[in-house]
Amino acid sequence: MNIRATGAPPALGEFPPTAVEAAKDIAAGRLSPTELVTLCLNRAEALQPLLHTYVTLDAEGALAAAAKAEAEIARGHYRGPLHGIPFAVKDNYDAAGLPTTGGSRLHDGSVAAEDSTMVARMKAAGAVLMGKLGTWEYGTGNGGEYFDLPITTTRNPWDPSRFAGGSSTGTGAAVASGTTVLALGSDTTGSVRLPASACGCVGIRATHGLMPRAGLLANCYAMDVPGPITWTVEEAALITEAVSGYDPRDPSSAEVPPFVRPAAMGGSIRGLRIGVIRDIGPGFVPDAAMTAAFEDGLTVLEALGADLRETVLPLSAKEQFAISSIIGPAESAAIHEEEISNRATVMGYGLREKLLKGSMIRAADYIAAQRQRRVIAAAMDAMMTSFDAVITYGACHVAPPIDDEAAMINFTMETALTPFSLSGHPSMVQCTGFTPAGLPLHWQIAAPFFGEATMFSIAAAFEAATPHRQRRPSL
Amino acid sequence: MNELSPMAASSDVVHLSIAEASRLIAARKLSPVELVGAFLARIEATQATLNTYITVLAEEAMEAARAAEAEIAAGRYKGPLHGIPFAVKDNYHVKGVRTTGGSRLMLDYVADETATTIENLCASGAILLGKLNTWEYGTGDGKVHGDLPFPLARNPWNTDHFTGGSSTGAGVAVAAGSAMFALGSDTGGSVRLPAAATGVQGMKATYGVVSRAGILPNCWTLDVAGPLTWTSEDNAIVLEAMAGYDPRDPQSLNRPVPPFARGIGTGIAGMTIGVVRDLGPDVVMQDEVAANLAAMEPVLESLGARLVDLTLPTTLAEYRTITGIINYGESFSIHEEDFMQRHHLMGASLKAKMIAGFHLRAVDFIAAQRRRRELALATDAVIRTVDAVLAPCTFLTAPPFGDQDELTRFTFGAATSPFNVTGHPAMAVANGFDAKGLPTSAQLVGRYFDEATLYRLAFAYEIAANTRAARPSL
Repeated sequence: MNIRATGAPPALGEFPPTAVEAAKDIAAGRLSPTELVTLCLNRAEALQPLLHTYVTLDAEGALAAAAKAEAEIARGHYRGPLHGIPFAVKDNYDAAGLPTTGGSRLHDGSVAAEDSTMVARMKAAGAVLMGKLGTWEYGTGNGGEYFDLPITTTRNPWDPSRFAGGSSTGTGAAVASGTTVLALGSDTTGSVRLPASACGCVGIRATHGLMPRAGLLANCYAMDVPGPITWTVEEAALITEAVSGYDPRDPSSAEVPPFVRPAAMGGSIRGLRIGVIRDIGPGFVPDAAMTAAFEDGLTVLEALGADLRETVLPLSAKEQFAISSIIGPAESAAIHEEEISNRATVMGYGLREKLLKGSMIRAADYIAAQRQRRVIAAAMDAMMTSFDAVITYGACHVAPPIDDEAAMINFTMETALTPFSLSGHPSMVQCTGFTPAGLPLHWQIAAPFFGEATMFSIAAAFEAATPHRQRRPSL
Repeated sequence: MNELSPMAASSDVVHLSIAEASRLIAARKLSPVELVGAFLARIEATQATLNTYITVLAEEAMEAARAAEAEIAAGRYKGPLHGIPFAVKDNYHVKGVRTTGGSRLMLDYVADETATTIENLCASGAILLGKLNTWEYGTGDGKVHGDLPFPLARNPWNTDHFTGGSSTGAGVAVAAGSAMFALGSDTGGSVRLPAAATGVQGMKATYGVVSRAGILPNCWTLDVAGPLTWTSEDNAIVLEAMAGYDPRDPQSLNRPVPPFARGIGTGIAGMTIGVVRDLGPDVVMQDEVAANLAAMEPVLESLGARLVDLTLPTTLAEYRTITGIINYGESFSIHEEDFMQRHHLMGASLKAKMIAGFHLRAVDFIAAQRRRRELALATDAVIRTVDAVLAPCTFLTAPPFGDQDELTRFTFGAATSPFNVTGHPAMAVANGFDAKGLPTSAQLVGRYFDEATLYRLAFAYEIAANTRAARPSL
């Protein structure tokens, strides 16, 4: 790991400001990008032995980028609200000059020749790349943690004996612990939303095709999307604006007009029709604390004037998860077929187990699952478009102890995240409170296709009306 | 209708093209009643020898003919298909009529819907004669076992010979004059192969142009419904009436239907035609097939076309492998339940295909679909360098029944499946005969949505080489 060589680890310092707070000060010349990234680098170095959020910390590159941002701003060339803001990316994103390890021994250690589109667009907006964050092997696994990867498993900043969520394991932890300001992960059936949930952050899974995935290691063609993880909703909207839009390098990229942040973030949500899904179906039961926070949250939205109506998923979350369990592993196995045949012993157990399962899936079952998915997606869309947005649970459980394999697997599997992966609708998670032990709780907000603005408006209004963003992990 | 054209009195009326018949019908020199009556008589005269039909709808056809006659007499002439008799492969549904799919699994099945293409054609005034012979569910493994519930359709040019499949009755009906046009369906060649075997014109249009609603599926991402006709102009007339956006069909494209028949006779001066000569190392072409293909080139050049060599991005073998994986996987997914529970009712050819599909892994299917996308893009890049492509269709003429290897090679050794994989429009056009008098054919391939250019090319060649003159003697 590339860190500045010093004697003792630097002092921890404060948490960094949010990108929104920092942008005001940076634009006004009150805060230098170098100062800001140094604060983050210090925290990253100090917390790495405890939390292991980074795989590669590029202090040299970050300081150079910050200096460049500073010079540009001094010359009067202010690129916008992301200029000089530190960010880090899951180590399945290519960033020029840095290795993309995918958290795997299969990787040959070579550095990426060019930036992934997401990284390129963030850099074009002036953001400062700090490095690559922890990930499950190739962004996937079987839900369990086996401590057998070449990288040390990231820990939850709210309780380091607990899991930080996966597969973007470093992203939620990095943002929650302030070892960066903004992070990018990727989500197939929850890999952005789960780390965000486990670490009390905002996690976005945008409409399939809105954010380009060129330059990311592929996990599942049908469901992979890149996704931001941030402390606040407005920061997520800033990133969405900077990175979205058609990319000819990405065959799944949607040709739609560019995303524009809603004019009044945190403005009125009076009259918005929100479908509430309390019952995600048999077999998946949210913890009592999760439910209590969910209901409290609905009360807040009602007080803000939202029009809440009960609705249901067209197919239970568990049944939808079963369908994704055929599509995901089969496609992952197709991606890694050569490696399964020739280098399976080099893989970690989690990836190997998933890929072997995927190799056994028959074409007939994959085809049937894709056809079912089409039918369910149409039914989901019919339900979603009868509202402005939908609210439901994300995961059923809080971040589990990392050495409890059953709890680990349940945390990842027992969720209402998969329906939106199957259908491609945008969804996000945000913090709704904390357990008595101080672990974050959350809910999931979803919208019709390309309805990110509505989703952000509701989440921002909730955020502004609640105190949860004031609470950070005690580190 | 008091006057009878002299032509109507003779059996030659069944050998009229749609274009010719429609002119006579419009001029009230030929009545739909006479025309349909002549076709029904022809069906009766040829059915025992050729086994073309599974179901004949004689009463319904005569009733429709009388209605057409009345409409035309009242001045309500609908267009070139008004009063024109046609037949459909027995995997197309017609409400209230049995759809057997050529299978013991469906002998009692009565359809509760009509295929959109048939609705479109009947709305244009065409008259349905009946349901045509087919391989079981429009598919198989290439072998012909004679174990299906209906006797094998036979080639009108030599009744000991195969008709091409899977639309086994469709080419026969058109060549023998027992339907003025026929509808088939094509997954890896099942419109173009029967057309080639029986010397008629068969078009597989661009994927998504023709609705598949109301047709038994064989393979979700490869099936295309298409017309078989005696002439190119007839084919254009029928495709124009069949095609068009259908919300009932998820793969139907929302695009306007071009007037395919308009300008069909404007010639091909200045057209650049890519000639595909090298399809890979394992291609063995029957001498006459190769000779008749080569003989097309000076004809096309004399019409003003410019011929260039064209190389496809990969071998025929690879296109075929990809098609096979996709076809077998999707076909199995369609018939899985029947295979597991009622395979004793399936013919051997379909069962063999099912067994292959059963074992197919998802990873291979996924890899095939991804390679398909690459091939489609690469093939399109090559096709777009020319106006149209001249390629082989089959490498053999229709083999005799009994030689399973040659029968399988006729079907799976053809050059038809690449264009199912890529979705480009492809048409079988007759170009002569072999020493035994069996038809040979070539394949014309076009840019996406450019069926009109293929029709113009096929028409110009057809007239110049006079390929439509000889009918089988029955």
